[in-house]
Amino acid sequence: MRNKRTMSLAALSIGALMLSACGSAGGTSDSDSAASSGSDENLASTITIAISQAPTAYNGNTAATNAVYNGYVDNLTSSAFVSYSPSGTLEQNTDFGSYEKTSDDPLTIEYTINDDAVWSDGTPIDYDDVLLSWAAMSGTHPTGEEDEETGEEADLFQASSTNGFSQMQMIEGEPGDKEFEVVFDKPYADWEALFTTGTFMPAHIAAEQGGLSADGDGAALVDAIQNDDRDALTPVAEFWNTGWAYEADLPSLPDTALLPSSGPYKLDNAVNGTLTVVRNEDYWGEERAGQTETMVFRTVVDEEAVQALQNGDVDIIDPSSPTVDTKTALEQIGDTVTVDTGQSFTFSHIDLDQRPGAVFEDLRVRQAFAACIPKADMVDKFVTPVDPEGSVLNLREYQPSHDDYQTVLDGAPAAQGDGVADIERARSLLEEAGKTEPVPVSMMFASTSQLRADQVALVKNSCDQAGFEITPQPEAEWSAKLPQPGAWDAVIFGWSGSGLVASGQSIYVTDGEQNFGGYTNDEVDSLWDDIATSTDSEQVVPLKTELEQALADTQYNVVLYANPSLAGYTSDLQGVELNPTQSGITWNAYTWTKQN
Amino acid sequence: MFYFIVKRTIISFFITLAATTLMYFLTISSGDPFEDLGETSGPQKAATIAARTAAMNLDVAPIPRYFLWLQDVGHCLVPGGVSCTLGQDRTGAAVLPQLENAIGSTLRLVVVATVLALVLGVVVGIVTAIRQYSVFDYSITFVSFLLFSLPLFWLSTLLKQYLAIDLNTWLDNPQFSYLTIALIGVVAGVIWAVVVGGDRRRRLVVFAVAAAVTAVGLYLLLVTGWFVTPGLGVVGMLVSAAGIAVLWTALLAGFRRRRVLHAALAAAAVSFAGYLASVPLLNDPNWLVLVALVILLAVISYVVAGVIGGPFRTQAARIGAVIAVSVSLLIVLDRLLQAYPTLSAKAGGRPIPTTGSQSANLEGTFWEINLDYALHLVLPTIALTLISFATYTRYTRASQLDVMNQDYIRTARAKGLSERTVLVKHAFRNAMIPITTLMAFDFAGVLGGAVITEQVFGWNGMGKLFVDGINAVDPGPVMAFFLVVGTAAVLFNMLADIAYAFLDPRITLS
Repeated sequence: MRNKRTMSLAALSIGALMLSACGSAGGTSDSDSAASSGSDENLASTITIAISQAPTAYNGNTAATNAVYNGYVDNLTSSAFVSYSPSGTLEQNTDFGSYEKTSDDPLTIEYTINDDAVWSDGTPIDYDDVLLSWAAMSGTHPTGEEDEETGEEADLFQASSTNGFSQMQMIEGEPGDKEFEVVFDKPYADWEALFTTGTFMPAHIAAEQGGLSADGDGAALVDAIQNDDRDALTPVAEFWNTGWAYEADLPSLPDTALLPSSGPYKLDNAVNGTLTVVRNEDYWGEERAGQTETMVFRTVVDEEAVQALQNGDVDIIDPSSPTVDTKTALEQIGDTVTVDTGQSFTFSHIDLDQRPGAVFEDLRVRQAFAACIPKADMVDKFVTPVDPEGSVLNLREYQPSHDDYQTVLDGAPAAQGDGVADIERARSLLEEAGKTEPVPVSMMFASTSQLRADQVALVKNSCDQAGFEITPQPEAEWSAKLPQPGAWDAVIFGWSGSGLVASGQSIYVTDGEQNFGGYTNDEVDSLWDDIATSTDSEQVVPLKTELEQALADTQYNVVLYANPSLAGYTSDLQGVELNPTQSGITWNAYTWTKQN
Repeated sequence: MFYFIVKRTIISFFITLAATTLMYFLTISSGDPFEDLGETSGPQKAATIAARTAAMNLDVAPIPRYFLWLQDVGHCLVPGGVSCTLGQDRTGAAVLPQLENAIGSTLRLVVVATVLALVLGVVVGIVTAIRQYSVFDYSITFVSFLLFSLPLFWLSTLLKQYLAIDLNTWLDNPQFSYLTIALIGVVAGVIWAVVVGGDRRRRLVVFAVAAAVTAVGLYLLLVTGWFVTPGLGVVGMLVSAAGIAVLWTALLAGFRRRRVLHAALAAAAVSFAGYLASVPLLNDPNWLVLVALVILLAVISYVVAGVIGGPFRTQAARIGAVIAVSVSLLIVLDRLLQAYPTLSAKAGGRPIPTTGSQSANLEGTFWEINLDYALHLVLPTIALTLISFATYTRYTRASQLDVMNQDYIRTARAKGLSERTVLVKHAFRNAMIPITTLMAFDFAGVLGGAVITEQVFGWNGMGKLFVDGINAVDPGPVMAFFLVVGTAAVLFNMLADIAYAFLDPRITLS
């Protein structure tokens, strides 16, 4: 009886299951997705960009606000004479204006701002804006207060850098001028890179907030700067320093009337770290006119960015240090997400302490160390899994993503090499140097970085066979120990390249600020003197080729590889292109469109 | 009592002061405030170092620097004079506004989760205690230990995958095969059978009924397109209101007094009428209107239920008010659900986000905006609730078991009180006393935020303030965080002690 009942119950349920297996309930009847796809007209009105830290200020030119993600926004809300192209070179922004070098001695450049160029509140972009940039970034307004330690005088304007502007004479002109001439006291190699995106701030806002009238094309401010009226300038400088700063984590924007834009987009609002920019209706240009109505910058930490992209919370991510795992996770999402990889300007290298008496004083020991380092292995482990095109880095001033990399490398035979560890050569070089005992090397790296720890282990594995004895030296305060002689024998860390001509000078010249290993070479010093004052970009490549040859010959340090970069974005997004410079992924975001 | 509070306040002040000293020196010696500049070169570096040194007073020796910070805190305690900033962070920005923002978003994030974990934990804890050593008890023990040991970052990754990414995809075209529906029914049946318990026959019946109801219900929801345009509807509201009335009566009064049940049903009818009347009023209200309507409904129900309750009017009126508030919550839920289709369309068809605390540039009605807030809270709230749920169930279970074995419970049973009265009035109330301490600690902890949850789900709360501060070796934000959390811990501890004295007459404060 009981058996029978169970049997029939089982039969019934199996029957029900079999019935139910073929069919389903629910579902939306109207499949509107099919209707909309394929039509070009159906573009989304909003594109959301993930950034890993909230922007900190509208004015990114101060020492406190010089941060990468302010530049991400500046790419859209600001324009100037030049910007960085994906090949690492400067590109003229013809929407904004034009310039021409008219003399080499003294270096003179004539600039013309587009007649139609206006701030998004309607005020023309003209002489007063340029003059304010010069005043703020030339360091010519000392406050008289001396720093106790350095003895340097602080400036009214806390600019992040006075390079270039301090070599400039005051820019002459009248309020309202659209044309101006820049004259340098001494030649400055990176003169073209001075007026880049983000440099110009709205002078009429700074003047009004500093208690000056903005009438007459900013005549009051122009007057104050030209006559060096400190009392009038002090409140203006205070506003320039802090008035455009956002609250931490961007809970909201200041009054947008204070934030007029000179670019294809203007700031609209911010909530809880999410910043919205909308198309600037007053933008005059055509080439860079915004293609999508609204752009949203959303703060998402790198670890969570992939899932946010997969869920459609953001449309594009570019994690700051992408790993193999990031790439795998992105690829597993499938066709809906596109992954672009490339190489950034940031590169990893090993500096060597070569002061008299230090381990690497002898050139042959440096060369032996360079020979035994498995650069090609490192590239295989840390670069090519992310960027298949990645290769060993052989130059110091150029990265493989730079246009001139190959030309320079061809001209510097000492720098060439495949990066495969050559234990035999290393051993014989050490013998030549008379090192019969293992050479002890204390190798410093950031204790917070697993990547660096792995790399030091690789070096130890290889170089210990060649006659070195590597001791890993993890340090939390490694950057403070960098300039201390004797605190380390070798150190592995990264430099962020800039694409500028002369910015590397202090790394290589005798007693340079960033010359941590105490390297000194007369040829290199004199080459740098030539490079830093060469105002013709044509001359720079041959000079730097010679420099690379000299640096490789004397084994300044060991360069390893350019860090890979990666962007993942929804496949509906068009126009994305990686940019290895500090401009970041949004360098051309005004051209982006997204299919709905 | 007064003496006790004064004594405790003075002691607490010095404890906090000593703790800040320790914390300050631990923070400033935790690393190198310039570490992030190690890999940068060029002139910005020197300027940044100079600006940071000035903002953080790094040119002052550590001990005087601590007193400079204390001075900044002092400005906040002394009214007038220098404005209260709680010092500066390393960029030179005042810390106080950052702290205010952080507290705001932390409260939004953590309060719901804490309350939910508390309610769920206590309820489940009591049920497991009543049915000690049943399958249900063992299952809950297993599940709560499992949840207790889950790492949050891992749990949140799973939640994002299944409850956001996959669920969003499913919601875009909600359908199940009949096989899936049947399987879900079976699973629901098993769960209910285990929860309800009883003998073999009763379990089978419960299993069959629950499985059938779930499967048929799910089928109906799917074919009527409920997942596309959700809502309770008029019929749903009517049934729910009646159900709520019966439930609260069962819990608070029992069915022996018919008048009370009648009063409760009348209150449900009043609430339902209120629902019908509110339909045109609530298209796009604000919080003030909403709260006013809830209070109005509660007052009317209170009066009506009191009148019908006759001899039991006090009890009936109270139940009436409780029912009105419960139904109001349902009305709010219904309205939020009705806002779902438009919100979902505005979110590009993927309504449940994995990150952030609200959508950017969302324009819509009161309901759409609040549904957006709610949907942003879904994942972090589940993550936080699941993890703190475990603590509450275990504590409540232990406490309730302890009480159930006391003599006075046996006495209560012996004098013929109903099981409901014994459990709710005599056992539950006393079992709650130790839980008070736990609650006090937890609410103090709430202010500390949820470090990992905030980071994983992109909220800028107290946890982020603290972690960013520590990473940057920036004592300003860290100490602001510590002041709030430390003060809250000390304060709530004192409150717990005072509450203890009120709840348990055997304890006196001296």
